[in-house]
Amino acid sequence: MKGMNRTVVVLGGTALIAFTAVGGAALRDWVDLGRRAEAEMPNFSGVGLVASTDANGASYTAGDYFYQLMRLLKREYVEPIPDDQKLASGAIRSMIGSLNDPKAMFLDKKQFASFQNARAGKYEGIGVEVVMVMRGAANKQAAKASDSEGALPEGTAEEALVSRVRVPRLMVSNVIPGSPAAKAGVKIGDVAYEIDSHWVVNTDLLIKFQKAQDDFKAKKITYSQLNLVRKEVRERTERALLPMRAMERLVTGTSGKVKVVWERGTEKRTTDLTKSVTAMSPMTVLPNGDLRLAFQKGADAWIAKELQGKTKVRIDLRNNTHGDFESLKAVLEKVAPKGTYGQFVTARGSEPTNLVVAKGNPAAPKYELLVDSSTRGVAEMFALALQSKGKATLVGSLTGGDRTLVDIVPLPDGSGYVLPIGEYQVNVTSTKVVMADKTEEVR
Amino acid sequence: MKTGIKYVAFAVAALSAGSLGFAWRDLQSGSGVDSRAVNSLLGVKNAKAASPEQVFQQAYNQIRFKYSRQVKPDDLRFAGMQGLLSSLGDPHTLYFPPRAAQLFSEETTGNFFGVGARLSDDAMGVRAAAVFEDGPAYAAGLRINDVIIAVDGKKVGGMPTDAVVLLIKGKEGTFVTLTVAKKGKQQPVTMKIKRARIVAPTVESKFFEDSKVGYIAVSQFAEPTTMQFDRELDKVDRKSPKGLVIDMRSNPGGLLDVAADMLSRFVADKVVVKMVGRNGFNETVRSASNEVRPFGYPVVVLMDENSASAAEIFAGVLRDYNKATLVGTHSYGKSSVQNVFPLVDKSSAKVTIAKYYLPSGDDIGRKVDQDGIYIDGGLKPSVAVELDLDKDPEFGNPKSDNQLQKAIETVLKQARN
Repeated sequence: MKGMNRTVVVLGGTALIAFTAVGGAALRDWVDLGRRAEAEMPNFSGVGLVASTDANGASYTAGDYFYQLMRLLKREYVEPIPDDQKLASGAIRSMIGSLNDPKAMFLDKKQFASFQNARAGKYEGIGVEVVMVMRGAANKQAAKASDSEGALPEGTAEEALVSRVRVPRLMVSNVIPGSPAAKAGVKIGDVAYEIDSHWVVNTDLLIKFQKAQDDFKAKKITYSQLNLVRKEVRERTERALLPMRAMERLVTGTSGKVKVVWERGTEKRTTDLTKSVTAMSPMTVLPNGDLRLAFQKGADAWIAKELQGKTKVRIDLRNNTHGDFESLKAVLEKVAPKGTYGQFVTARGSEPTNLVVAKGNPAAPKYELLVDSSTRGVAEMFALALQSKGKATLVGSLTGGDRTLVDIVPLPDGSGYVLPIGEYQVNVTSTKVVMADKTEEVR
Repeated sequence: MKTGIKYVAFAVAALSAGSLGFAWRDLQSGSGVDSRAVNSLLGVKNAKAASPEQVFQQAYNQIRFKYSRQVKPDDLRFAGMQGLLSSLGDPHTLYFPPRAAQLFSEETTGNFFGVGARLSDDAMGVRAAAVFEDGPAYAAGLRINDVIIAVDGKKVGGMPTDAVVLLIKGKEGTFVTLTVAKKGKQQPVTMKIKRARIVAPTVESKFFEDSKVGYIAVSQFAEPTTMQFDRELDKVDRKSPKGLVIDMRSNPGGLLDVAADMLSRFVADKVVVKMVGRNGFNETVRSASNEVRPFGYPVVVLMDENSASAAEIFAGVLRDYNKATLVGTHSYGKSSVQNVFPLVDKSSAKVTIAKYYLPSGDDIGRKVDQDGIYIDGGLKPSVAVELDLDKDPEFGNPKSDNQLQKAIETVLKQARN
């Protein structure tokens, strides 16, 4: 009787334990699958991503997809993976790259650090800022302003070629006064052609090569002529720098030499430069009483203080290329009366967003704004906004033509990215810039 | 007291069983317990910095919903996954979005049927650049340098070669009619040819009478390659050569066992390659013990950046056992084994799971930067020579192929010593 009892207990216990194991597995199912709405776990089954119970595979988030693929790698990849955040940065880098937009940039740790330094007024490298400029259709709008590299005529064979291979060129958008580049005579609009004997990849050579190939097929040129082009391509690409790497050589580092060949129109100029740090205090009262304004945290309080008791204020917006949008809005609240100052549009089909000054400064002084082609981005928007309401006169030369609003996003591993989120538009019938001796009308 | 212990033991057993059940999914897949699932169960919010998947998801959302242009969610995700895999800096760990995954599997299981000829451009149509001796076109009378001027009665003059190839290829067992112009014949010939599965020859040989050097080009390592290699070696040997050039240029590799078999002609019972993977996975491939041929002459292996995988093992093993001199440029640097993992949405991930090491212990793995540009890797040649493209080189023709010239020169120099 006792033995019988024992057997029952043992059997019962074993059954219970087995039941608990099944229960544990069920609990896991519940965690992984049942609570999906809350945890948004994908319906991946046992062997990671290998099997699926979800036919269309559309009901989980990109993050979950990433997570599962990351786990697959950690389990199967030949070497251990030391840094998970690097995987995320790699994925983001590639997403940004897939946009094929010269204004969307992924910056690695080193590049992002110097980018942030530049925003704080410490310019590394040779003391320039550069932008990526695409030839052809994407650049047509910008071509009207000073970014112009000459938009290609529509529908030409060349344009068709460009759309097949799109590599932007690296153009100087700002030269910091007193920097090695300024001393060597580098100018806004110069295009980096060769850096330390490395050719900076751009579309031109590829177009030339494809054209030569087409011409050869059409028997317009001989084999040896084609070979000359081929040889040029080969020699150049053997020592080539992609635009982001080229940019890094110009704007990072605080010591060492760099030799740059610049293209200015059809002319080529060679400069030997020594890298250093060029400081340019972002927010300051200049010796002549002009204000230099940087669109960053604290700018609104600073400008409010400087405006006190003044009826006419001159603000120097030259060499002003980076700024954040929040700061622009805050500054406008202090310097402009309330109203709507233009709008932001996107190509998403969403409604434009107005740039609104809610309370504003009813006792705002008159402004004279010093601008030139190094007035870009938020600074340019600021100038156009004030001018559109007759609050400011622009003095100098044409602004840079960059009215793209961007988000600057830092990532945990020190890298970061820049994402265009809208274009600024303002209702003015003409953009007037008072030149030293004349008024130029532009539209 | 005893009963107490029993209860405790029971509780422990039950708890372990429960945990085992919970973690079974992870253990089955060979990894540790998924902390994310545990945290989710216990309601623990990750207090530390954002996890990689959160960072990724945030950026994904930012681009999808805030970027000034519309993006297709799938394209964005595919780009992300490609970047995730390429961030490892391994050119062979790749992500294939659903469509590409399908093409990839078609390509590797490839069922292409044709007539057994390689075609090139010609003003009148397409020219037969090579006709495989075992193929149906050869049997029907097609010979090298014949010009195909019509396919199934349709004139092909002026058509791109690729398009003509598509006309000629078709289902196995069906027929295609070619109208062929032969040199020295007034009238074109018509041939009706039955399409068949084509096995292209992987080994071709030549003998250069002026230098008395044999030449064997191996285009890949497939099932029949060893047999073809032996046959071509016999052909060359009958000419009593002063030396032999084995051309591995543009050979992308293939079956490792075949490379090992071919190496057995040079070295007996020696390590060919070691494969090492995660978690102690270890495998050594050796050459066979009694298949060595007596090579009474020096051997040079010609390689270039398109020599990869099994081709590099072949060249590297001969180098390591002093059986051949390497001439050309550095090879590709493929020293790893991949596995393709199908993913839920019919996309797939090709992941490197193990590495090869040559007998000398060398890892020849290709290193690239994040833009995919070559930094280092591959076998280094003892005699470096770049192909001179300006001579319009034809591989295997010593008159225009300067790398081959160098190889012949090298092998003759060794023959004199």
